[in-house]
Amino acid sequence: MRKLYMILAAGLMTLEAAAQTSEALPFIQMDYNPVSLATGSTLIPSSAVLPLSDVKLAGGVAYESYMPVLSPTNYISAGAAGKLDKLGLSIAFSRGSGEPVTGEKFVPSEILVNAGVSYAVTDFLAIGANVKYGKEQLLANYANSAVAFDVFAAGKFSGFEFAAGASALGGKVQSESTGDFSLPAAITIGGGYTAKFAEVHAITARIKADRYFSGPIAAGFGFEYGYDGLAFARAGYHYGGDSIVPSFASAGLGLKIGEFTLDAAYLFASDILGGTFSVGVGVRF
Amino acid sequence: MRKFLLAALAAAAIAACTRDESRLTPGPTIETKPEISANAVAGSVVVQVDDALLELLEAAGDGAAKTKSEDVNEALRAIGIKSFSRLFPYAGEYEERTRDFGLHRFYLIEYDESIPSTKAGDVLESIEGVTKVEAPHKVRRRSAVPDDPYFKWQWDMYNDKSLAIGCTKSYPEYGIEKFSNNGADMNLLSVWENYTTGNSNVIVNVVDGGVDLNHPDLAGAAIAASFNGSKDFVHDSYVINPDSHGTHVAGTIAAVRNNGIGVAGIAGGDYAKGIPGVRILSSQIFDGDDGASDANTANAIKWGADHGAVISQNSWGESADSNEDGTVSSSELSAYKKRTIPDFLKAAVDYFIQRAGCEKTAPYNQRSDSPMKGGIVVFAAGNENIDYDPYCAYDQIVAVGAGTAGYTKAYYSNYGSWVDICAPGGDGLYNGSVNDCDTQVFYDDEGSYRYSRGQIYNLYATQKLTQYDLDNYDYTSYGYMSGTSMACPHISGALALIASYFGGPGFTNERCKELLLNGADQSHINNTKYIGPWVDLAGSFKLGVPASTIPPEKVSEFSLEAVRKTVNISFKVPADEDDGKARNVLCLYGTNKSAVENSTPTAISSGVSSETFNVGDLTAGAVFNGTLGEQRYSTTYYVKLYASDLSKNWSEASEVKSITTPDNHAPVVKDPIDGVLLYGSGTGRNITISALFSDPDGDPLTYSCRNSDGQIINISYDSNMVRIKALAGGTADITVTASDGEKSASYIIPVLVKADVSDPAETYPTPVTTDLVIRTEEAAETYVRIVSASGRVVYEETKVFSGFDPLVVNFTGLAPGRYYVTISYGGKTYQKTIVKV
Repeated sequence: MRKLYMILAAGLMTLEAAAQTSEALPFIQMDYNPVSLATGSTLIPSSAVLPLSDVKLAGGVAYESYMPVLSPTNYISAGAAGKLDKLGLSIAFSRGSGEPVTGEKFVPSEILVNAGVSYAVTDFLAIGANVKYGKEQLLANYANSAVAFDVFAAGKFSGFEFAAGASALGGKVQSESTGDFSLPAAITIGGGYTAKFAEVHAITARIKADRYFSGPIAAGFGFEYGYDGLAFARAGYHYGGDSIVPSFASAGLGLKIGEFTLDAAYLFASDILGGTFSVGVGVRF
Repeated sequence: MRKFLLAALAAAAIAACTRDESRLTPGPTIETKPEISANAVAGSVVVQVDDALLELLEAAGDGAAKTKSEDVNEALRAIGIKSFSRLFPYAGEYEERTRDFGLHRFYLIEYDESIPSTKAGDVLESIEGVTKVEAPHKVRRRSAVPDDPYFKWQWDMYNDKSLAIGCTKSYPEYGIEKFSNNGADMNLLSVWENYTTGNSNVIVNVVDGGVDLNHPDLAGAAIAASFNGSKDFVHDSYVINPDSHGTHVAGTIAAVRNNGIGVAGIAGGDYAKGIPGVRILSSQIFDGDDGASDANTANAIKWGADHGAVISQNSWGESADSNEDGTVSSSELSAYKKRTIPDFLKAAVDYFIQRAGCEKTAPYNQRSDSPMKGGIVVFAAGNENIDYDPYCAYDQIVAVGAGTAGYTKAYYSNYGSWVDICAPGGDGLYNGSVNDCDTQVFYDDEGSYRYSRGQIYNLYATQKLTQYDLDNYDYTSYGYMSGTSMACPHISGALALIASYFGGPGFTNERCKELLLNGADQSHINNTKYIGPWVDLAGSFKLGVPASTIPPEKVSEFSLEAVRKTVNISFKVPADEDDGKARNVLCLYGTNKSAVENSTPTAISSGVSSETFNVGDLTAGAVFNGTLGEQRYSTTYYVKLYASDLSKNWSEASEVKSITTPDNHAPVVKDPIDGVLLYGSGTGRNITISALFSDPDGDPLTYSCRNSDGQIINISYDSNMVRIKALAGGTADITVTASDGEKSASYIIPVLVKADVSDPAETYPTPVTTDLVIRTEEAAETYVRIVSASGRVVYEETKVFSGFDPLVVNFTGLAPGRYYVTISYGGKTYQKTIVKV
């Protein structure tokens, strides 16, 4: 007897797609400084500029609500810096935590510790290096960590300032399932100019560009208006491209009362980062 | 007219009807008042009602305990009513004729068993609209004790006097006469040889203990238990619990003949020649040693009429020995003689006699596939050596007495002018001092029983033995029994054999009965205790078959037609010079042309099938249309016809014609369904699989289902439905295969069990390693964006997918970390935080 066996199916297809590639521990390249965020993230996060500044000792804390519309991650940061003659030293700490993983109770978190040293080679040129330790706790029993380095050179003269260097140089993060992943290392160059007029007004313009080792380019520009060194208004724009931080526009305010500072930044014009804000208080001597 | 009969019933001594020869100890007559309740079924009564009350009861429905009438309810409460239900339940397609017969007016009332039956009767009688009240009584088998195996011991079928059976002296105290084996049997061999060995269109309803439907010697004869087949009336179920009494009775009628094993039934066909015998419908009314309620038995008898049977075989009844002391006292007998067949049982008997073999609707003509119009109800006369039986006293019942191998009345058989016919029932005392009646008494292996070859040898149940079997019978597949219980199936078998040969259009129950009774031998039984003439099947066939010597003309014109795989045949009825016309046309057919050409009615070649068409009332020259039934597709069959008369004079062969059946087509999917989505473990869904497929050829389909993952779902299925139950979250496939017997088709039904029933957009696994699976509840255009912890968009697409066609995003290029997934469809947006490791 002939047997014919015919199989029909109600539908068993799956749609397959691949995500892009990415780099590990992106938070080590994020900006936690409300002054920098307000000006398009154009401040170079390096202690290299410290020996050239007028500040002898500074400290502060900041709070940042990152991507609050999508999935808020709250960062608390604290830092201190000072200089002895031509030597500058800095230390900083950040901790972030967001929402629990869907369907789980565990809340992922990350910490970043940063220590820097710099030296004024001349009166207008300094060099510096940072060492960073970053760790992310993704599950109760799973975490990644890495140590990275930044090296920078910075200059300052006649209202101009500039910096150049490389950041997040370091090891790799081992995935449990799909191999090694590099940190988001980049080469950075930036500069700025401050013009003062009528004794109480000052306007500063800054630009910065990053070229990531993985290929993407990011850039930003920003402005700061200062009144008599007491109040500040800031605005900027960051172009993220395919880099770790997407594009956004930003604005912010600052106050300096005596030795104390209060700064705030707000990000907009981004459906991902829109609504991000940061506030910080500090002291400068 | 309302009439309360309980008082009369109470005077009737009703007890065990099973004949236990060990209790035949002579002794003084015990003059005690019969125990009224000893055999009445406690807490149960049957009433007949008028139209008004019927309306109230029907409105309340079967199983109810109250009606809309408070007066009626008050009376019912007084007896602790449990429920009332139709005695003969709703009969579906047979309901019209059931109501025509008035059977719907009988109601079974179940009430508090502590209420005396007399009080219950009084109360029920007081209800306006109750026209009659009757108490059901226990009924019991009418058999004796079993014995040992071997076909050659079936002297009842063929007795060449070689068996040393008999009594060398009389035992008056037992009612035993001196006799020797002088060849008493059914006079059956010439009928088997010349006319018939049975026909599968004859069905006998064995109302008894359950028949072993799987007994090897009943293969093909026993009708399976189902909604349209054998039924257990004790538990109202369709699972037969076989016992040896019912199986023995069935074997006497229909044990497969000539199959090389066991014994031969009277109408068991000819296995070697491929001729099936009559079929057995088991209507189980006993379970174990307990008596049955005759209310159940009435229902079982009617069931036979509504399910194709034309013979009702009943080896059971009430007992005069109401106190069960082993003797029937004069007072017991006096009371017993006041018993008559209950109206509800009488109604069931009448229904069987008038409606068996008939159409469902008026005017109740004979069914085209039935061998007989009307049925015949056969009862055992009883084993108490008394001259009365309340059931057999009803003259429409064929009452059967039991005889010995010496053409004498069996010592236990009831007797009287009301006994219509006798048949071998066996005789042989095996216990006590009287064993002379059987010089072939022997012991079993353990020496604990003695068996008599003067008894009747036939089938025992082979499986699911009841305690009754274990207690009373030596367990084998075959054994001895005796009693009017055994004589009765000889008559049922004889009637079935007569119907097998003479049956067809126009053949009636009256004619069948006439051939049985008028063909019987009046010369053998001279006992003053009359048990009727001795059954003589050769005599019956001689009476029915006319003296004819000229064969019919050959079939000169016939045509064949293949409708799917069914082959239809039409031919003109040939003339017959001395009979007027042919009675039967034998169709020989097969796929081997030379084998068909070389076959004759008396020598059918291997591989050639046969089908006999009874032309019934058609006259010579009329066109007969028949069918050879379902054959194989894409096959050429060769067909040849022979005509015969009742005397089996055969015509010349017709020409050989051929017919080719068309190609088969595989089943096709008729109505595809989407996948099955189940919300959490424990939930389920039923799918009508019979609606999934159709067969282009119209063939009936059978279905099978396979589950790909027993940890996700559990399935069960039958011929119509697959039932799915979720066990855990995940996916599984059910492969449903439909087959027409030759070709099959399958359809895969994907099943998704959602682990989180509250989430319309699932993402898993957690954590992600290589792939992220995203499922939505419905197929829709869906926007998906995946963003890293720093805000970078690593994936963004709009696609159509669903729970059964999920989106799988490859994460191998993404570094470990937090990611945020946005899923938007159907106007709603869902956010997920996931982790890749």
